[in-house]
Amino acid sequence: MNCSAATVLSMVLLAAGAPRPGDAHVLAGARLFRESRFAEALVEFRVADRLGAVDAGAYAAAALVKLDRPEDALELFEGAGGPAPGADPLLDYYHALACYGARLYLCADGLLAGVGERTGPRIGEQARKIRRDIAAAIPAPPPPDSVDWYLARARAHADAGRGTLARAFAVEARRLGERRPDRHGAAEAAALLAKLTTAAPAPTP
Amino acid sequence: MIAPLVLAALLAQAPADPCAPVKAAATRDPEGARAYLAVADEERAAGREEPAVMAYRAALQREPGLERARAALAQVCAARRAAAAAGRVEAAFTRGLERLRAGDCPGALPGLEEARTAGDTSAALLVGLCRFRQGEDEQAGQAFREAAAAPDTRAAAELYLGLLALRGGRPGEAAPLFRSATADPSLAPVARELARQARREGRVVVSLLAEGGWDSNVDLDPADGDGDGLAALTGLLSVSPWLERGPYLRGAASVQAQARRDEYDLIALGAAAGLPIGPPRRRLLLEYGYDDRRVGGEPYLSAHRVLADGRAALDDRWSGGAAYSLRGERYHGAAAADDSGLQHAAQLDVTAILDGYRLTVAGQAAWHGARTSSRAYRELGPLLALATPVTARLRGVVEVACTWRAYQARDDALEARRGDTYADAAGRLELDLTERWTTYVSVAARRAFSSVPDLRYARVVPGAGLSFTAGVP
Repeated sequence: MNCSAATVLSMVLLAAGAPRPGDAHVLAGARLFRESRFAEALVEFRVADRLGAVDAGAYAAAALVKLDRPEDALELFEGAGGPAPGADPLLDYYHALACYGARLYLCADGLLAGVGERTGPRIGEQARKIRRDIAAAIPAPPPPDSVDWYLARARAHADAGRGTLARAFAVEARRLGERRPDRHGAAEAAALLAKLTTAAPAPTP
Repeated sequence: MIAPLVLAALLAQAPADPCAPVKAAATRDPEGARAYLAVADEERAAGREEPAVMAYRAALQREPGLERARAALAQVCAARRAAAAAGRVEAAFTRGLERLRAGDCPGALPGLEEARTAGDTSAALLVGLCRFRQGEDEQAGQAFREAAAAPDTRAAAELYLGLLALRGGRPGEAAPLFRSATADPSLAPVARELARQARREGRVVVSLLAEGGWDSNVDLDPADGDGDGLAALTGLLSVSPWLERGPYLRGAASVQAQARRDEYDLIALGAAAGLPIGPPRRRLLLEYGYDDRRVGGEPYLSAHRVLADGRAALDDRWSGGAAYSLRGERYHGAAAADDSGLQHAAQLDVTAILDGYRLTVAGQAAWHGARTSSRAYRELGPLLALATPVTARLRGVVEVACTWRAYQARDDALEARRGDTYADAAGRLELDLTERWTTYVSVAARRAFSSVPDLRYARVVPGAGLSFTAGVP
């Protein structure tokens, strides 16, 4: 979230009529975010989220991206109550950064493809640059070791009880595996996803 | 919409130190405080320390009496301070280690001492190492004793304490330290060999050596010569009341018998008294010696000798040496008497210890002032030697040299002015059987070239032996 995004957020809240319990914290968080005080912003967004403010969890996730905690951010973006992809390009952009930080490059690429120019020229340019980096980073076809690495990470997160992250890594593994002629690892990833979905159904956007 | 601005203003005034005392807000907000406290606990549980601290502070600003928040904040802050202190110690240690790796002990010591003061026994070990290298044995001993108190560094510290004991003239104290250091598998080979050395060192050291071999050309005949077997028995006695730090006496006696050519049987007696001056890294040795030899039962040579031998460490690996000896030789018997005279000999060398291997490159020169000018000569040549680590149970050394010798005047008997070139090579492989017994095999070879054809020859002397060495602390 950049300066203008925080300002827009404040205006939206002001125009929304009677303030709700968490709105003040969202505003405070937005201001702190703008001042690059991301730890404090995270706290405000988390308090706002507890008080029921809409999208406060996603804003907290954006703060976590800024705090270089991409996997923590992913858990908020992709967990229950996370924003639906495409609903807010700015949140999609931060969601993509979280994916990118967690090395979920296909996840990031898909989100950035939807961001386009909807967030303004600066972020649009940044999104295009990241997509170029991703295109250069992922060979075609991806090596089997890469697929195995994502599968291993997915299993490790599943064992640690971080189902959301496990699903994200399993999806990445499956999509990478599907890009190979031999579909290396794709079936294992799909099986793991099925198991994870059975254990804890993914939130429906 | 005033509240957000107030809140933002409050947060904007947050101190730079997140663990500074919390200033209460003008009005209490217990409900808000509980929300912040819940977030703080969640952030802390998620391992996000900074947001946790911020949230605890925000809770306490709204409700100063929230003891759980105060206690949690105190815990987090204490952990942060400890981590910061540990980080400083770690940084100091790293600084010191980097300097030490660069061979800069004086530069390494401040950082290592800082880490040592914080109780880091690894740092104490490295401080000891630096002090040891600098010859500051007392300070090194203190540091090593600290390091020896911790299981992780005990073995290495004991190894160095043993070396200190050896250097300090206390081999009896060194041996058990080396034995204890063998507890560390990575140090065990070195420690065992040092223990062996310690058992062979002392104020009185006795060595006995029995050897046998074959001399391919006893009489240095140009036409391949006459080979003969040989057997020898040698006894050595060394008395050094101050070990490496003071004067010493040394005596040696050797009897060598040829299998067939008993006219070459040799009896050699020698004695020397010496005085080392200076620390090991910059040492000068002054020695006087007397040698007497009998060949075939007849007196052959008696010689008085003085020696000055200095060595200085250039750094931890490299050292330079210079030696000079003056020897007054008196040959007996009509055939050899003309060789009598003064012999000056000098050697300059550069020696490197690389991964324990000792490499020496030297230049040698001598001037032999025989009383008959046709027997007087000057000689010069290089020498190259390579030795495996002295601490290994199996050790080897190879040496090659070349000497060009020019005689001073024409020899009427030879009808020529003699000029010789000698190519020498020697190798020796030693194996320690026990702490006091060692066996070895050796070979020495020479090829002599001369302007006088009758003086050209080749000679190879392979041999094997068994030695016993014992030291009395």
